[in-house]
Amino acid sequence: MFDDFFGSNVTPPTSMNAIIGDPWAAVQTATELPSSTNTGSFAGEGIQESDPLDVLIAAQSADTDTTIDIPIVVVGKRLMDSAPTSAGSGSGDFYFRDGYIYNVQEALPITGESSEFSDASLPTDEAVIEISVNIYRDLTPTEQQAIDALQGSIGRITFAIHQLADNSIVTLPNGAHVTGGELKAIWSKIDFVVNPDSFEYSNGTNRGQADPNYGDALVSINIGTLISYNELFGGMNYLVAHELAHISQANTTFFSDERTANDIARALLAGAAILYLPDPTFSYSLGAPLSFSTSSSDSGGSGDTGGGTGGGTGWSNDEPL
Amino acid sequence: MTLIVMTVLAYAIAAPTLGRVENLKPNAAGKLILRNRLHAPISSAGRAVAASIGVPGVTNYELVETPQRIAGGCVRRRWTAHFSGRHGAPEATRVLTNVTEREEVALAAGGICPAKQYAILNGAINQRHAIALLEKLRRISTGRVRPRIDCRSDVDLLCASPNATRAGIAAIPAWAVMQSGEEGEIWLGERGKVVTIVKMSRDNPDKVTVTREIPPPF
Repeated sequence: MFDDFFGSNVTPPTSMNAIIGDPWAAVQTATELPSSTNTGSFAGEGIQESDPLDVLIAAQSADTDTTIDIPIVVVGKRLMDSAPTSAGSGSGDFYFRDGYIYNVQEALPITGESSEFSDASLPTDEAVIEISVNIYRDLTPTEQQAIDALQGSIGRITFAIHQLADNSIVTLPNGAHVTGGELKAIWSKIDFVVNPDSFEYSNGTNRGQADPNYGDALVSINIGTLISYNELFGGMNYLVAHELAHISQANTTFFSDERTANDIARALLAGAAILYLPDPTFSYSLGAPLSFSTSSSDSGGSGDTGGGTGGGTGWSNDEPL
Repeated sequence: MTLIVMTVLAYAIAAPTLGRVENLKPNAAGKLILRNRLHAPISSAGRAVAASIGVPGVTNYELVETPQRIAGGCVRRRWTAHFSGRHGAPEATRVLTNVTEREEVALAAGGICPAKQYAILNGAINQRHAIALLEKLRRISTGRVRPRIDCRSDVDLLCASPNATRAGIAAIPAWAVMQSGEEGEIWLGERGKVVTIVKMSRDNPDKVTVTREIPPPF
């Protein structure tokens, strides 16, 4: 009865070589992250926010280090009865058709169905941070709010990372280091997926995972977890930064260490005066937040404590997102 | 009198708290949490084992149905009740805010449904295909079926020899089954620890891929 799924039973081979196949030897995973950082020009327009799903977020350059200028694109259904919208200014705008949102690299008609639109115009991986919403029904208002908040947090963290000099460094309690260049390298290719609540991950949770994905990082979060963190003060910023922090520890023995990830997340968020969850699971190391610093100048790390106080450069931190 | 009636009524219809549920036997807890939902009798209940970062202020409480026999195996549902409250307040005061469900399957042993070692149906896969995958895995691990196996382990000597691989996957339970396109996938081991992933292709049934790795954290 089972053979209809797998075809006929496999006939046992006559020699061990035929069984073994190639290769049998254990292979070490090659998960080296890119050693160089993404380079590119910076538009210098500051950070803009309009309709949460029609937003082009760019970080403003504070120095001559590597810049990241990455639109954030949500692909997926949104609230039922939401009117199709378009972003207001220039290339990089996006709109949705049939309830889905696409990035539009070039100016295209946005009234009704666009026959000119095709997958060929979808952006390359490094051109955008994509949030793929794998929920194939209309979202509830609470789900939509959480996804909007995720997009906003990604924008803030884009800004926070951009503030860091490539050679800025934070030293962790375990003696390991993370540099601004390393975070920029990850962030230049990172994408996000939002899955239904029932989705299970190989880490044994049905909450999410931070997959380094051989240098093309992919953070997956289930919608219920996203909603729960969105309801916590500074929760969404913390969640995004925490997952980035895990990825920054790939190929180390601290990859899965939650407090290490918490410490990195807090250093990044506090340094950019972005609100963060004051009391996460597994907590932070005792004392003031760690800070990124360079040998020649202190490029980050305001050192504030306890949840951040707002007032970051070029980004409004007035709302506890 | 009216006030008393209203108070009792409000209590009756109010979302149950974790403390109230934990004082009930599994089936009674199931009736309270799953009211208005069709479900089989609940055979066990308890707090979900935390893995990675749980959401502060949220406790997950699981209800596991008594399994039902189906062709080739057994099926049951695992319900997860989410209790939320102000972070820092006693857990017992947390209130039921959401319930989610997952189906699990297992191979029947001698026509009897086992009590443990069920695998979650992860994503779009039906019970029959999931049981077919588990049966195929059982045949491979016992040597009754001998496909070519491509093996990679990041953590141990699982891939040292074909026998080592077969013995390795036979020694650990499957805990999730899924399907992506023409490819079936089974996760084995202890949830939250090192994961062993077995992939089987419908298009190429003579080949199986086995990978043992440290899963991405959350």
